[in-house]
Amino acid sequence: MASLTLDKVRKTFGSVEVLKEINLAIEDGEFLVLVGPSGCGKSTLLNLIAGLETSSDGEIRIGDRVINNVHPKDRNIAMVFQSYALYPNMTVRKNITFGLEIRGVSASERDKAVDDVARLLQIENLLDRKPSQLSGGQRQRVAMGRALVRNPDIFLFDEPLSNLDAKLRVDMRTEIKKLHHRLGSTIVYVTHDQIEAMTLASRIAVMKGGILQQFDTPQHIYEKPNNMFVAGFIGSPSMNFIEAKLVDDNGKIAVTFDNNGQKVVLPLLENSPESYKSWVGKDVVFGIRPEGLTHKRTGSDKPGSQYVNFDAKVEVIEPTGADTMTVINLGGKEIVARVRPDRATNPGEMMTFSADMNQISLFDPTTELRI
Amino acid sequence: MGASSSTESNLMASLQRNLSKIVVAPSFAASLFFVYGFIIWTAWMAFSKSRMMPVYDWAGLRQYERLWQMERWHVAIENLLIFGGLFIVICLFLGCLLAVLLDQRIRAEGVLRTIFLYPMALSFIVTGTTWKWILNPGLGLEKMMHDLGWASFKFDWLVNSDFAIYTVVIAAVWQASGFIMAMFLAALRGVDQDIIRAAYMDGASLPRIYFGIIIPSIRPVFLSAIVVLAHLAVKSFDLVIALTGGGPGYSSDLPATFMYTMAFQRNQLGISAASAMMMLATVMAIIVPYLYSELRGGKKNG
Ligand SMILES: Nc1ncnc2c1ncn2[C@@H]1O[C@H](COP(=O)(O)OP(=O)(O)OP(=O)(O)O)[C@@H](O)[C@H]1O
Ligand SMILES: [Mg+2]
Repeated sequence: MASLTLDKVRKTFGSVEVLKEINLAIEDGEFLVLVGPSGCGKSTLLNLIAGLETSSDGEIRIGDRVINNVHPKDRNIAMVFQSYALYPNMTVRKNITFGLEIRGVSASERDKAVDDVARLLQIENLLDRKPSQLSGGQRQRVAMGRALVRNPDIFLFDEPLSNLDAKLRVDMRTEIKKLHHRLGSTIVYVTHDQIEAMTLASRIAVMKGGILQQFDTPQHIYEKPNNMFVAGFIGSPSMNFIEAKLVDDNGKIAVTFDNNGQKVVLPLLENSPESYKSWVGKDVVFGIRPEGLTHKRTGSDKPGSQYVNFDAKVEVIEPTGADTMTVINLGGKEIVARVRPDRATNPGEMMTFSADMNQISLFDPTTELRI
Repeated sequence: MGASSSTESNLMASLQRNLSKIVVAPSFAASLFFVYGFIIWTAWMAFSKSRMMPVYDWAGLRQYERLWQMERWHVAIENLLIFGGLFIVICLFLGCLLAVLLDQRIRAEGVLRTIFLYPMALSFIVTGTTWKWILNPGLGLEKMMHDLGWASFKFDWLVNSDFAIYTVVIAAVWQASGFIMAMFLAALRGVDQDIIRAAYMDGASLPRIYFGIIIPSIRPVFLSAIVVLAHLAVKSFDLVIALTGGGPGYSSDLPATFMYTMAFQRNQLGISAASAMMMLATVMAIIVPYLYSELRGGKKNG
């Protein structure tokens, strides 16, 4: 168990800079999820921590120990690979004990360790099978067993669930979370699935193009995304972006945008940040998540309410059971609102929506950064 | 009128239906006749009294008995065992080693691969002739060493009846090991790189990763390589003809050269046919179980 620090870590392949000055620090026992679109450098970062690649610059520390030049086997790190990477010629038991055997652990200790891990992962009855005789989920468990048995300081997972079917993925996700609670180990977990990131992480690092976009707790990233990329990447369906303008509305700051010829004016709450003042009269991007845009709420007509109402024509409805996703068209853009099924109307009809002004984000349209 | 046009369209339809069969038919007939027909004819010859010309009177197993009484046939069989055994083992070893070394993502891999693979593109006659020059004591290696001043250097295997068969091994290994390397390299490239990484993180050394994990997991390729090499060994003919001509004497005869000599120089068509049948049986003994396991494996996977 140990903390992990990445200090100004860079990685170049030839002339291509794949990672640009990554700074990350997690405490002992934290669950860090690296998330981002394909090719953003997640696996590369994980490989740097594992020691499978060497960093071009910067420092990687486990606890107080700088490990840049430490051989992977001496870093006390275990990794679970996306393709499981089980040794095809060995039984499950041999797969799990291979690393111990190389480290010179005695046979009796190895047997005990395998039994413990097998019980933990419920793979006792699979120990004498070859990997080819296992299902995907079982292979996944064996791969985790191989990592667990070494009792490492840090676990690395590289998209461990992406080869499983949807149902199994959810089950394994829960199981990994339970395992983390139980062992209290430090985990770095790579995924491009933002739901996995939200559910598992104690902290999320969102990456894009080799640049760390935001590093924070899941809730904070969800509520206060640093920029439009993070806002759009985290959350499903993703955040709505509306081209808008900040105006002075009788002494109060308000967001205004065009709704098919009509002007919608949404006054901001009193407790809005001071920084909004300097943006009055300028174009902004108004970001609101689908759940911040609902059917007309009770109490929304009262003055000083956090809800502001406006009317719009319903284009499409997508019932999901719990909620009905209602698509409206604002300024040529499709906007999704999350409506209670019994309040949903049919496509083509007008409907009154409430915007929850507590859940809004404003972005600079040129830099795409949060205001 | 109506009737004739309908028969015409019937004809066209059946032509279209059977077009692929019609196209394949001539080559099918040819191989049926020239390959399988002559196999049967040879089998017949082996039971006949044929000497110089084919005759068709029944002699039972007489030709086989004579064959197995010939000292020369025993030499040929023994040579085949020596040659085949060494050829297969050395090719597997070298091919495997080269493939593992090339798999290390070294620079100039493409060039090296071509260099190693190139001998396979030569005909055995060229290989045999080249190595005949290289190994000829008066021309090649030995002469070169003498010219360089190493007067006591002696390498006369080519003209030594105890060692001539080993020169065939050298030339054949030179020719085929690159091909075996390519087979292994393809298999190694098919191995998930993450397995190597995982083993590396487990602390395994590179030799241990290869010999403990990677090579055992590409075992099927060994089987394919052995089958390819074994059938090359059994039907080796041109290489021996070009390199040693079966000599000195008949000390480097292989069954194929034995058969040729019997048929076309010694006027022993019957014995030759019998030896051909022995070779066929040997190849079948290798190929049939292999094909059987391959086809059955295919069904299991499919
Ligand atoms: N050995 C290499 N040589 C050159 N470029 C590389 C190498 N390995 C990775 N890259 C590049 O680095 C970038 C990041 O790759 P990486 O594998 O880390 O992406 P990733 O975030 O894990 O993507 P994915 O979600 O698809 O797995 C990619 O643009 C890739 O092309
Ligand atoms: Mg990756």
